Amino acid sequence: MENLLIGLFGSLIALDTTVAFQFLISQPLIACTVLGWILGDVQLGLQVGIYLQLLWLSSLPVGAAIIPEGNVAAIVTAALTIRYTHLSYHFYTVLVLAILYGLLISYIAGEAVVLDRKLNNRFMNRFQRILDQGIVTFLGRVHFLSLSAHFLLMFVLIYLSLLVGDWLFGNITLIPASWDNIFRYGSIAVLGIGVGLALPLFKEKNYRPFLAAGLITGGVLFQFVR
Amino acid sequence: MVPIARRLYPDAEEQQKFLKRHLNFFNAHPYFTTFALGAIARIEEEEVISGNFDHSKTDRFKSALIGPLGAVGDQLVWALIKPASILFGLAGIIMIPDFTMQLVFLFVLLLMYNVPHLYIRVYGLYKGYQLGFSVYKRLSLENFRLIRNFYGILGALCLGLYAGFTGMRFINYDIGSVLVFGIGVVGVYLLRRKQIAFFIAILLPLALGIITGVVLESV
Repeated sequence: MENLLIGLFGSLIALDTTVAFQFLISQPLIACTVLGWILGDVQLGLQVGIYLQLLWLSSLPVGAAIIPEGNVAAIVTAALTIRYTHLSYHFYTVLVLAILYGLLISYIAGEAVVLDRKLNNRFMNRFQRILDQGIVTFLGRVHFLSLSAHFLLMFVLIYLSLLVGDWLFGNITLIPASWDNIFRYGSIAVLGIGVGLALPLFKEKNYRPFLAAGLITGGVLFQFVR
Repeated sequence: MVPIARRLYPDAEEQQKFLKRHLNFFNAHPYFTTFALGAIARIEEEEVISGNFDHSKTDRFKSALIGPLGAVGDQLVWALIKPASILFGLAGIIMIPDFTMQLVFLFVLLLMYNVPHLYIRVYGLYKGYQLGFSVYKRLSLENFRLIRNFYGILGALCLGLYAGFTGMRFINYDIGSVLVFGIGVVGVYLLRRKQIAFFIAILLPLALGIITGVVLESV
């Protein structure tokens, strides 16, 4: 039942990525926090969102490019992390394995967009034929069909990903607790990877002094905040 | 386009012809399409008023807009406003330990993105309608210099803040953590610069980080 709920939430959120609202609510930082609230651990949801946010940020949806669907993957990753951290208390082990699984899901979901576009093409061809008959009002229905198809596609993907994820993560407690510290290093690498991926977005010469100023200020601020 | 069709052509057959003309391929940045929408509404309206129809000119104009609309939109929104807004929220969240304040930063992040987002949509429609064929003059990054500079500086500053704060946290923790963080940053940066595929560029530093963890734990 919980998987159904996550699937519905995830596929609704997935509409925000490209096909509908585009208000940024599908970004991992926000979507994972809301999912955490739904699953009863909003703070853990936000924590997972922080780890995932920068991973897919540099993949720009330019033109008709097929990019990894990071937002759908973040939903699956966050759901599995929250669920199995509560069961095993091995946060870093669950997090890093869920991120690896999420990377696979982001690839599959990116490829699913191709299918989505083919469906849209079919809907448009049908609209053209209906328009030839003189019915103008059908366009609204084409939009609705297109949105529904995307919603359904993402729902099936998220739901199946969670089912397979449950099967894969079901025996996570068999992994020795001592390995959690090793996976902690993996989670640190993920944060570093996020920064490394975001760096090229601000590589212009005139931004470099601000990047350096931020770096120094961030280091100094840590000494005050800790 | 349907409301424009209904407004300009009361006759159903004319509406049908109008919509068919505008069902051709058109691809642009989603927020910046309003510039084209406004301009087309103006041009179509002028044609109806003057009775001087030149649909091929309108089609050529629409095709010519695809490039500038995509280029400006992608560079301004996807590559600047979006990452800068997110980095602002992210930097605030990691630096402020209070959970309520972290949620406030999430809300501010959404505002920082959606205020220019909605402004571009509304402004585009208005300017497009006002300028008609001349709208292409507005489609240059130079015309969005203020937004571009603000979000560029903000994004760079927040990325630096985030990296500096997180890096210092690991320096205070242990040397292994700093090493792994550095492997992540430098590894993926170099691999992406060499055009290595996205997934490989992520998985290699991640695997290296875990292997370093295994070595450090066993020592």
